[in-house]
Amino acid sequence: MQLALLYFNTVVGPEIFFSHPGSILEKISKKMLNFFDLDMSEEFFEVILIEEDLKITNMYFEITSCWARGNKEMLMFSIITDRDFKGELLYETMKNYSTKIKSIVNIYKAFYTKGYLNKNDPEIELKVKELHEILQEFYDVLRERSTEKIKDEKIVKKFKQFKW
Amino acid sequence: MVINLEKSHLLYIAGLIILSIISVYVLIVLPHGVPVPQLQEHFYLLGLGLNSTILLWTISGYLLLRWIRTNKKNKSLLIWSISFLVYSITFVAHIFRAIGFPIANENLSVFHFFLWRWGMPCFSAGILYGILEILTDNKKLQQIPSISVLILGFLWLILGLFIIPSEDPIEVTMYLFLYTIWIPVCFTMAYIFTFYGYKAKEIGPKLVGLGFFILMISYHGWAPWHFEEVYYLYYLWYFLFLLSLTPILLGFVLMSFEESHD
Repeated sequence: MQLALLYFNTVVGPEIFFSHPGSILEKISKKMLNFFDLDMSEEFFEVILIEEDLKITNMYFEITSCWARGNKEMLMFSIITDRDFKGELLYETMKNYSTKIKSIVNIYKAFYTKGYLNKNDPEIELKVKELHEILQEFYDVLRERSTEKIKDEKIVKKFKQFKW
Repeated sequence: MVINLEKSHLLYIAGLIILSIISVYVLIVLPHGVPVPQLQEHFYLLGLGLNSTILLWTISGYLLLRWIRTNKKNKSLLIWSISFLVYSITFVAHIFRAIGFPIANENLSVFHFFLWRWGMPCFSAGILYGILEILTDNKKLQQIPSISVLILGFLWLILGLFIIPSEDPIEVTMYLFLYTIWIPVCFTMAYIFTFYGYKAKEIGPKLVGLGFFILMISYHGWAPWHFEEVYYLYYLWYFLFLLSLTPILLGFVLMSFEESHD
């Protein structure tokens, strides 16, 4: 499982702000950015990558921003899992963490670290650190929840392998 | 000439005529039932034994049918079918005891008790093996607990009935057997089926789980209420046991429907 937070950079377009563990394979990250760029009204959606045998579970959300056009930053959580994983099981957790991020004052500043966006605000670094901590915690919770869910699902798979 | 029974409802009309004749006869004669003295003492045992046997055979038959219909691939269905059939031996004996066959009285001696109760350790081992067959592919994990239950079950029966000196060998045996094997196995079945039903969002497995849970509760009362002075209350637990078989049957039936609509 890999977690990524994507945001819409007003200068260069969609970018990956955070990914854990490690960086996402270029082939997959390109596709993820394209999905983010699609003008979809869905907040929660899943994408199956047949060739890679993977599933990407996504949640789009927005945060208010004083520096962005339209006063909002567009963000998306993307969770990369095995193709068979039931992404909807993580919906509540994703929703909780999007709310958590929304509730942090001035969190939008974390997305202005690049030179062409730098506003020379001392709070930027603090917000980056704060957001990274939340995302790391989010990943740990996701990992824990998904392991619990997978264990729970095992019994269903065991019974379903037989005809009744 | 071919008569379309469905259209003309001839069967219904014929049924009404027969019932009318019977009703007229009964209302004119007001007949008294024929006495069956052999049943005077144990009529309730006949009812309980008969109903239990019918339900156990129905469960066993249904599981066997499902095993055949599903191309004989789900071995657990066959194992459980045999287990329920073997378990029914005790209740067949109750029927014969109630209609006056002394040899069918399990309380006559420890030998008689063993003769009509050996199916219980087999049932415990069988249902456990069936569920382990589903839960694990590891042959050792399937066989070791089931064989242990079988050996331990027979060990309790042999030790309690024939070796340990006691004034109440039957009750002592059942205390040992029920509280160390039967009840934990029934609880295991109840838990696994309920858990699966909850996870799969299906009612059938939950009903099977409920049935095993009631079955487990009913056997809590077996030994303590089997002593002479309180024996009449033993039948209340027997009623509860009988009740437990209905959700088990209903659950298995529903399970096959729910799975086929999955």
